[in-house]
Amino acid sequence: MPIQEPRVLKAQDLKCSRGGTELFSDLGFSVVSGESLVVKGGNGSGKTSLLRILCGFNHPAEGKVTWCSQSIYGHDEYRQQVSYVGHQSGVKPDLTVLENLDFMQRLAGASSQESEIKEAVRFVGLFRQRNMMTGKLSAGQKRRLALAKLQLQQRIVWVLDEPLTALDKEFIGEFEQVLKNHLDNHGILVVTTHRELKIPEYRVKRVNLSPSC
Amino acid sequence: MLSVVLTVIQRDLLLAFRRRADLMNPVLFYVIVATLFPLGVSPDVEFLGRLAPGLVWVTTLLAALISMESIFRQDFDDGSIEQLFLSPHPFSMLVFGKVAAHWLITGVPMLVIVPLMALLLHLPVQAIPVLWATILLGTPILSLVGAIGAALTSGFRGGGILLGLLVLPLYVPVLIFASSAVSAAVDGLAVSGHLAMLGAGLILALVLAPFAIGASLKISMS
Amino acid sequence: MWKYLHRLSSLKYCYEWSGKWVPWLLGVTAVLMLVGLYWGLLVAPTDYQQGESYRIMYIHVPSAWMSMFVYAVMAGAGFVALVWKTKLSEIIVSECAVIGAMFTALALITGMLWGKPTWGTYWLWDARLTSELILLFLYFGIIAIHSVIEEPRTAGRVASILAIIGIINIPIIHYSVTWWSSLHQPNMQLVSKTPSVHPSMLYPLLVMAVAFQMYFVSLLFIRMRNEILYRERLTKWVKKALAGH
Repeated sequence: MPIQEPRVLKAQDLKCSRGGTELFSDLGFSVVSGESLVVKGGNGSGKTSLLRILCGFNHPAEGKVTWCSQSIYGHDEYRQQVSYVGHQSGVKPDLTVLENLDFMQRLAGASSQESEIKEAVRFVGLFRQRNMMTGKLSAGQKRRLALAKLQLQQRIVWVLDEPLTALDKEFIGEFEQVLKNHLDNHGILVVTTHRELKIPEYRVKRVNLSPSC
Repeated sequence: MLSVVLTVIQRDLLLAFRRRADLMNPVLFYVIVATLFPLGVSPDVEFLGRLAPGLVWVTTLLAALISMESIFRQDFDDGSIEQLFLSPHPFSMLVFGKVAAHWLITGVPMLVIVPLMALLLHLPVQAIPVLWATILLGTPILSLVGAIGAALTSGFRGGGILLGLLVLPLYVPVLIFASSAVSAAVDGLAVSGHLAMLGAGLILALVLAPFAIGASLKISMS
Repeated sequence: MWKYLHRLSSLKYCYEWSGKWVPWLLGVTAVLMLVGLYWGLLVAPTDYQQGESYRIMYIHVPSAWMSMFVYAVMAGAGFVALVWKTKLSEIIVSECAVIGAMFTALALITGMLWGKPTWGTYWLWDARLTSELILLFLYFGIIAIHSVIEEPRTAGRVASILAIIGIINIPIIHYSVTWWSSLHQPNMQLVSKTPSVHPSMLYPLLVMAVAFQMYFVSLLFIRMRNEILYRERLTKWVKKALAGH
């Protein structure tokens, strides 16, 4: 495997406020490829806001986020390296499981073979439901579908907002293995979670957003 | 580039087809509102015929407005907007695909229903081809301009009511040129000037609107 | 120059800087208004066609000019707000919307009052009145944005986009309405509302125009300062500035 030059996602002096109240300020960190950033904090501490800032959806009130020392705003290359799974993950209830993944892939500019998509569906345990309308799936199954996208898109930066919600224990184990492989392949992971993830400690960086008082 | 626009169109048409019941809403709205005019004004054939160019176009404006509200609503609710933003394709192109699909779903039925209702409102038959041309040129403008308003308001609660206030003043030129063209056709006057103005408006909207819609969506997303 | 502009974009500096100007601006406005009104209402000659009623022009015409000028300022500030993302220009956009709506409403009301003696009715679907009315709707849309979107920065950016779209559309709307009105009122014999202006009538009008400009700048500064205090209410400098009073 060729040695990749390390990529750095770096945040400096981030400040975020919502509706006049400050959520966090002076937040800084850097994550290099192969590392994960675990964001902790109580409800309303700005975890989702931070993740959305790192994706480039929101702008911080102050501070900057850089990818390989270039600001991520208007940085097209960065945008193409990010996979985001949030509370809503862009899954259309009126499309089947396969259709959802197929459109997601095509809109993401990736040309996946049907066999690859089927493989991903099988991996997340939705093969039997592949032609079902997504709206009829359970919450955990929808989440699995959103996670299947990560496998397919193979982007570098994974930004996951509470990915374990509604997943059963068995699948969590498999999913943690996926995350580990991603890090081993020089990926970057930014994640919020209430549960501890089983990721080797030397690969983990932590950010604690204290609830604003 | 073109293929991604087609992909968005294909997806949105499929989604609309899966919710066939919603497809009829703008059409039904149109028919009902058009029915109100004879009841509210007068069933007199000659009188209605003179009002008809304005009536059919005011109703078209309203039908376009109410259909706009839903164009980005679902994408905001299910998080698709964020996923589109992370696509490597130009955001304005993806958005253009969405507007095109929306026009195919809501504008194309107008090509059938508006002339039909115009006849019921006693618009002289010789004006129908011109009416048809104004719908063909005018409704895409309504979709493009309306989508800017929808993009600005979809992300917020109470945005739907605001949409009319934002968008209807911008619809005024379309209303003026389109209904004047139809009136001119009724009187047997030349219409090419009015249609040319509509065409120019369509080109302007096609060029500028996708960027405005893209920028607006990015703001609403945050 | 850039450094100076950058300093201006700091809200605290802007608050202090504009504070020094407000009394002077208000003073100049008051003097010009008094001179213009005295000159226009009492000194300028009576119009041979419209009699005294034309004198409402001294309010109507400057407010109609301002209604468009303020929109242009707002769109300019909106452009700056979107490109450089400065808070100050977002504030200017939202304050201009309120002031502009006020001037537009004033132009409409005085236009209607003027319409009664000249046309015999308060309202005619005359090209200028109609496009002024649509302009008022455009202003209302931008004002309404701030009541729907709670986050002031987001609301500011949405308002900026609307202002820019509006400035592209205003000429189109104006042109289409003028054309529409010429189409529908070809034979109407109207007394033209703007008399061919004799210099003795024109000079007071120009004084009033400058007075309205000054009034706009004073209002903008006062409203801007209020908004700055409100937005920065949690910062130390505002608490200190307010404690001093």
